[in-house]
Parts: sequence; structure tokens; C-alpha cells
Amino acid sequence: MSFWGATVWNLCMQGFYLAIHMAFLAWWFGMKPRPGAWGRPGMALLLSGLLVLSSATGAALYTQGYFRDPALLWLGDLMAWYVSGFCIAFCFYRVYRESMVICWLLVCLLNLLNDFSANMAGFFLIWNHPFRLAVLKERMLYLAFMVFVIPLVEYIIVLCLKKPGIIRMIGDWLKQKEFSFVSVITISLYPVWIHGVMKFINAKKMLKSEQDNLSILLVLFLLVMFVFGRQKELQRKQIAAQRIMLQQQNAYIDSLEELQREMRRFQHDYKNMMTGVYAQARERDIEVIQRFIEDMTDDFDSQVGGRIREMTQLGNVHMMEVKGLLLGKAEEMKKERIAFELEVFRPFLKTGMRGTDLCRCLGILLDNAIDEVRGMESASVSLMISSQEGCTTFRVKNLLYSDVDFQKIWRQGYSTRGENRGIGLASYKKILERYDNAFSLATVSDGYFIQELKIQE
Amino acid sequence: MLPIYICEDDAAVLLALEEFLRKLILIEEYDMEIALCSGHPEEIIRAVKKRPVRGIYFLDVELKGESMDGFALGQQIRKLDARGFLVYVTAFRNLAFETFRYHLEALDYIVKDEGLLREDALPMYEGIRRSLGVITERMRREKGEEREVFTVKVMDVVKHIPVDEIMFFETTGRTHRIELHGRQDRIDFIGSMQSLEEELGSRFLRVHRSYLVNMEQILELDLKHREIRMKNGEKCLFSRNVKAKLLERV
Repeated sequence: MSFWGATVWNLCMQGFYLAIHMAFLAWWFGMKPRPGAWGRPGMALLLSGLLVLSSATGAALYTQGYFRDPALLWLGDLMAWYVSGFCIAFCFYRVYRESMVICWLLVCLLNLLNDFSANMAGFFLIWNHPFRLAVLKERMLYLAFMVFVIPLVEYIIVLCLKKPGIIRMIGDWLKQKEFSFVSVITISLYPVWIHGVMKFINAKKMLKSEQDNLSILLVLFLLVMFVFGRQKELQRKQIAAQRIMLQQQNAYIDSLEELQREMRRFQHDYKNMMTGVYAQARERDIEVIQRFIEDMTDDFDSQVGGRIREMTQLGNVHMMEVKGLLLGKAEEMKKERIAFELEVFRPFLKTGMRGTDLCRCLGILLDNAIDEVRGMESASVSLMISSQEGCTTFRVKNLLYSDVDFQKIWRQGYSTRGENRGIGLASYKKILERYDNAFSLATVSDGYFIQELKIQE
Repeated sequence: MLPIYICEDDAAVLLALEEFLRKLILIEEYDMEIALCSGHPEEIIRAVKKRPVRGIYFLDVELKGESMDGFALGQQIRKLDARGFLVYVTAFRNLAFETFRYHLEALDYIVKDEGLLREDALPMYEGIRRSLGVITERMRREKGEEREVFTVKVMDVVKHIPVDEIMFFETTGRTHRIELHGRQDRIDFIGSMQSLEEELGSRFLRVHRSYLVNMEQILELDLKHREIRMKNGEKCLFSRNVKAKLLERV
């Protein structure tokens, strides 16, 4: 076949498989092209350009004879694989708007599926040599293979993988969005592994398709093991998170019990005081009684009132993790003699941010405020949580004591209170980058430093 | 003349408030009048709808037996009168005032003490006196300065930033997200550089793919590193092809 013929042929096949694989992605992970992806100017041009590039590379390698010479086969294979892989990964990147790493991993997995299916399909062949495309009959058969048999085998394999939940597992793994460098490299190099294994077992003079399948099975096995390992780690993390939550709940119960004890104490005092005032009342000493009532309300306010207020506000926080965090911070501030004013006017049920991420963000904002007011006289930090019409606002407010350079607060490692504080804001920004529905605001107004985080459900 | 509305479900408090306000307006010669005193939030809303001008509202937070509480009433009023003055009257000392101030831009809150209504120099009356003082002061200040503001909506709140306090806009890693760098603000919002350029006109220059800069806030240019230093000490980059334009205008 000429270069142009091969290019056109490749182009048809790549377009065909791209369509099938995108259907698979929609089926497995519910991945849909981002809205308006097809309507964007230049999108069609870019996609077809990428496909033509990858097809032409394959065709060039073919016409240069890389696929005929067994000694050069591995080189041609790898080159064609990576060029087309990158092109398709870039297509995915533009169409799905996922990160490049995820797109690349998807391409690797899909190619693995495709290679494996092609080899499985190869078992049904009666002869053991590559298709001789020059022979009309074999060419027709090849076409049938490419268009019907391989997609069918792919479909069957996917069905087999979907039943025991392997697809879901892979999906979970992709969703976590944080990949270790080693795992990405391992998967990216899988064609290299295959060629390595093939070289290794070549001596045994096995059938070509058997060699392929053996090595691919090996890689598949490694992959599944790897995903399993990942799953286990995830479970471990989940258990750890649950343990923390349990601790936080215990802390909550403890503080409720303490409140109850204080109430009991107050009740006891109050009985004693009442008997005293009763005697005064009999003597009609109005002034003493008035003073008594004033004292008692003040006492109540200082002893139990503040705690009750705090607990009522905290009771409106229905996200257990956040409640735990706030309790912990309240305790910390109590130790440092910082007043913590918490205000949750309406019940706060949920947000569009993962609990752990939200806790990290809130922790950072509160720490910034605490750092600023620590050691000051009548120091106080206030936090408002307000859920309105599907949007939750977290607003941390504290007095600024020093004439802080507002812009410097944002620089990594800067804080008004010395070195190594304020590193939090950098990681805060990093967390927020992962959420399209979270907005951060900061302002200095009337001598207060105000940090806001707004999250849509 | 600023109309004053009072919504309070306790008739005695309502009467006392009205009487005190009437006297205060007379004595201080405020340009205000009492438009309506009612125990029903719907009546207040109807009256405000009929006369859509800037007003002053004294609202009880707890409205027993009514269809909405003071917060919801405040939200309704804000929709009709964005610049009005809301003052809350409550029996609770620990009102969630931060929330009221944040969402309704409430001016103040006053704790009512029903047992002490008869006397004259009481905390509640003091609170009202203070509020009206703040309102007149604020009105006077507003007349003095007519600064142009940039208005941006971040989900459920609207922020107004004086244009001369904006240093630059920067695109962030997330799509369609812009960060406003102000003298004392950082605001993250949804928008596009192109529409900002159109909205703000020639005072702002697109010096880089990611930066739209307020020309009046530039302190100096670092030609070697292609950086702009702003008056607040922040830095941003500029691209080669705007260098000539920048030099000409700075």
C-alpha cells in the first residue's frame, strides 16, 4: 500500500475506534464531552489534525518497512503507539476537559484493551502469519476483523470486567485525581514491558499470538494487582477517617456532658442563693433583691450562658467533620485565652466540597486568624457559617493588630507573626484549585482581616 | 424625605418605638417621616412596593404568628430597596448579627427590654438615637464622594470595589475564573478578561494574556524582567508586544 493509502486506512480505523472507545467511556464512567465542546471553533480542525498526524506517522513507519522487518518491529510498534497515544490523549483532553494525566491513563487503558482484544481475536485465525494485505481474500478478512471481531471481543472483555466491579474500581482510582509518579510511569511504559517480555520468551519459539497474549495477560495481571493495592490503601484511609470522626464525636459528647455538669452546679448554687433572697423578700428589702437578680443573671451568663450559646450554634452544624474541627479549634482557643465567636444562624447541612478538604480549608483560615491575635489582650476570632439558597459562606474575621501589608499575607511562608507561619494559604489555594464551585475572598476593612470561603452545593 | 417603617409584633413596643421616633425626628430636625408601623410583614412589603424609595426599617427579628421572620422580611425589603437602612430590634442578646450584616447589610441591632419601656434614657432608645445618627452621617458622606465602583457578584453577594483601588485582574488556573487584586481585597469570581476589558475601558490595559492592569496604579516598570510593579507592591508580568504601548502611557 502507498503512503497515502495507508494514511487514509489508518485514519478510518482510528476514527472508528475513537468513536467506540468514547462510547465505552460514557458507558463505564459516565464521561461526557463538556458542553459545547463540538461547537467550539477550531475543535473539529484540531481533532482531525491530531488524527491525521497520528495516522500519517503510522503510515510513514509502514512504508519505511518498520513493520516488516522483525528486528525493527519493536521500534516501529513503540513509535506508532506513543505518537497515536499522545494524539488521542490530547483529543480527550480537549473534549473532556479532564487533566492530561487522566486522559493519558485512559488512552493507556483503552489501548491495553484494544491490544488484548486483537490478540484474543487472533486465536480464531487458522493461519499463523500476519495478514497478507496484497491478497484480496485476506484483505477482506482483515477488514472484517478490524470492524467486527475486535470490537466484539472488546465488548465481551468489558462485560466480563464490569461484572466483578473491576471497571468501577478503575473508575474510582481515576477519580481520586492524585496519582503517584510510579504508577503513571508503570502504566505508560506498558508497551515497553510487553516488548521486553516478548524478547525474553522469544527463545521458546511460541506462536506469535500466544506470545502476545501471554505478555499482555501478565501486564493485565500486574494492573489488576496494582488497582487492588490502591483499593486497599483507600480502605485504610477510610478507616482512619472514621476513627477521627469517632474521636470528634466523643469530644462533642464530652463537652455536652461538661455543660450538663455546670448546669447542675449552677442549680445547686441557685438553691442556696434562693433561700437567702427569700429571707430578704420577707423583710421587703427591694434593693437587695434587685441586686440579687442582677447578680444571678450575670452569673448564669458567665457560667453556663456562653457555653449554651456556643453549643446551640454548634448544634446547627450538621456536618460531623466540621463540628469536630470547630470543637477542636474552640478548645485550642480556650487554652490560648482567645474568645471564639461562632455564628451559625440557619442549619448547615452539606456543601459541594469533600469533608476532609473543607476541614483543611477551614482549619487553615482559623489558624491564620489565631496566629494573628495570639497573645493579645481580649483577643477574639469570629466565624460565621451561613447557608443561603444552595450556597454556604464561611467567614473568618479577626482584628488586625499590626499594620500588615495585605499583599504579603498571600505570599508563601509569610505571616505577621514570624517565620514558618502562614504557609497554610498556599495549600489552601491548592485545594481550591480542584473545585470549580468554591470561591475565596479576602479583605481588610475597618481594621479587621476578613477571609471568606463560599461554596456552592 | 426618608420614610421609616417599623415592624414589631408587640403592640406596646411598637407604640413606644413610634412615639420615640416621632419625638426624635422633631427634636433633631431629621429629614424623615414615619411611613408605616405594623405588626404584619406583608403590610410592610406592600407599602414599600407602592413607594420604592430608599427608607429606614426597624424590624423585629421574632415575628410570632406571622408568615416570615425578620430575616426573611429583610431579604424581601432588600430586593425592593437595595440601599435602604435595616435596623433590627430583638429581645435576644445573642442575635446572629454577623449573618444579618453579611446577607442584609443590616446597619445595627438594638436589644429591646420590655420591662423598662417607660423610662427615657434607656439602651433601646440610645440604640435608636445612635442608628439615626449613623444614617444621617452616612448620607452626608455619600453626597461628598462620588467614587466610581466596580461591581462584582460572587454567588449570593454583590461586592462594590472602588475602581481606583483595583490593581489588576488575573486569570487563575481554573477556567473562566478571574481574581481581582485590590488594595485591600482579593476576590475570586467568574468572568472573562474580554468582557472586563470592554467594561472597564481604556483605563485598564491587557498587558499579558493573564493580566488586565489599572494603568493609574502602576508604580514602575522592570523592563529587564518584563514586570510591572504596582503601587501596593504587587507585581505582574507584561508581554513583549505591549511594551511600546506601556512606555508610551506610563
